[in-house]
Amino acid sequence: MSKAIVPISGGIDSSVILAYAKTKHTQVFPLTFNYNQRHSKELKFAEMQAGKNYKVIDLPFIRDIATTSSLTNDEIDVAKTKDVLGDAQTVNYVPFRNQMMLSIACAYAESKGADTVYHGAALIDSQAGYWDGSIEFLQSFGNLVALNRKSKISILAPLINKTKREIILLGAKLGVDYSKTWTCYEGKDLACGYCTSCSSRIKGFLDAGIKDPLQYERNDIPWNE
Amino acid sequence: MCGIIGSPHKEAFDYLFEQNKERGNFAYGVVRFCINNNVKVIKDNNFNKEIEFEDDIVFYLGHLQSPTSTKRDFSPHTTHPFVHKGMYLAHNGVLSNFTKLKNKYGKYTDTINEVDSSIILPMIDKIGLKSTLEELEGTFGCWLYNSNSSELFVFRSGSTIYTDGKNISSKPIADWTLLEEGIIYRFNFTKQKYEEYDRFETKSGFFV
Repeated sequence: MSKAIVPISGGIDSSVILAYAKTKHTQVFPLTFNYNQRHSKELKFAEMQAGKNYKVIDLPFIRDIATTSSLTNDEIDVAKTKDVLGDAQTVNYVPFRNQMMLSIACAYAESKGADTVYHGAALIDSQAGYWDGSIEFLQSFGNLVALNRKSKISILAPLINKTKREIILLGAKLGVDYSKTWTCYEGKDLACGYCTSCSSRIKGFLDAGIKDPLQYERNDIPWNE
Repeated sequence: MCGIIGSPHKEAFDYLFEQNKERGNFAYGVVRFCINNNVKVIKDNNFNKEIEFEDDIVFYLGHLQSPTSTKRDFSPHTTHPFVHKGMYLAHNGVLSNFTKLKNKYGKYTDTINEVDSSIILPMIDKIGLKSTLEELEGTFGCWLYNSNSSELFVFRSGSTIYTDGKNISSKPIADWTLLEEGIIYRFNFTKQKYEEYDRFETKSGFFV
């Protein structure tokens, strides 16, 4: 009986991974982290995607220690794509968040007897400068986890080489309802359309030839309706 | 974060250099070339030192570097511009498939080092400019001066390059516009402006 832990954020990538994992494992445990992120609105969308065995873990201390990130420090503006493209690391990066979350997911996996933990990294993460979304990170973290002498847990990132277009098309095939996903770092009523997260989502939908069901503040997106 | 700049005028170059310091204050590299195609490269990390130029310069190019690793000390070897067989290149961005490219093309040259940008010129030498750009993944905004043909190119995928037609800057300047992604622009030294030269398929994953 194959069990998997799937950390989900409420965004597209993890929603697609969750749908994918449900086709590969007999039991799936969706997991969300509440770290008082600026866009905590995403938690509501994660819950909509989750289904059975859903668990939310609170990590309030991240906001206290990760003061350099726009997602955990309200005094820092969320970086807009046009201002930071090409940066090695933008202010939207939360220091070591992914290691913490993956480590917790692995701990949860041990207690649940799960042999797989999914990591939501996609190709765009490396392109946006997130070192903790890179293939090298995945390999290194996998090597670390492999040191465990008893519980053998595989860290899988099935989207790590996929473009947003490919991910969106895969999710559509798997039946993901994109109107129940949230991507924007701003966390306002409407998605901003300008942050790095929004702009990769928009580009993915444009490339896939699908209109994003989310509503945006900006009105210059050339959807083919 | 890094900044790339370029101008045929020293005053404009100095202004752009100052403006882009906020994008990179770790080290800088400057290329200037003259009418007789004499190319001079300056690399330093002393931003207080005045950069000396001669009078017969036709173009100034610069790169202001921000280290991507805090362990890296200043070294001319890892500071832009990169030089290979008469070509000079500065890059702003992150190449997400650097390891793959290094495994594929690293054997052809010994000039590739730990900086992802160092792979670009050996690739251009091996497979040409357009094919190279279509194989790069991640983000890049570059200027490329080929002293063999006296051609100056700029191109971008992801990373920003703003222009007023004649000058370029990673940092937005007043009413300058973004160069279009997926187009290789070549500088027309007679008309003193960038013109479309060729197109490449861009893998940029962002809607700006």
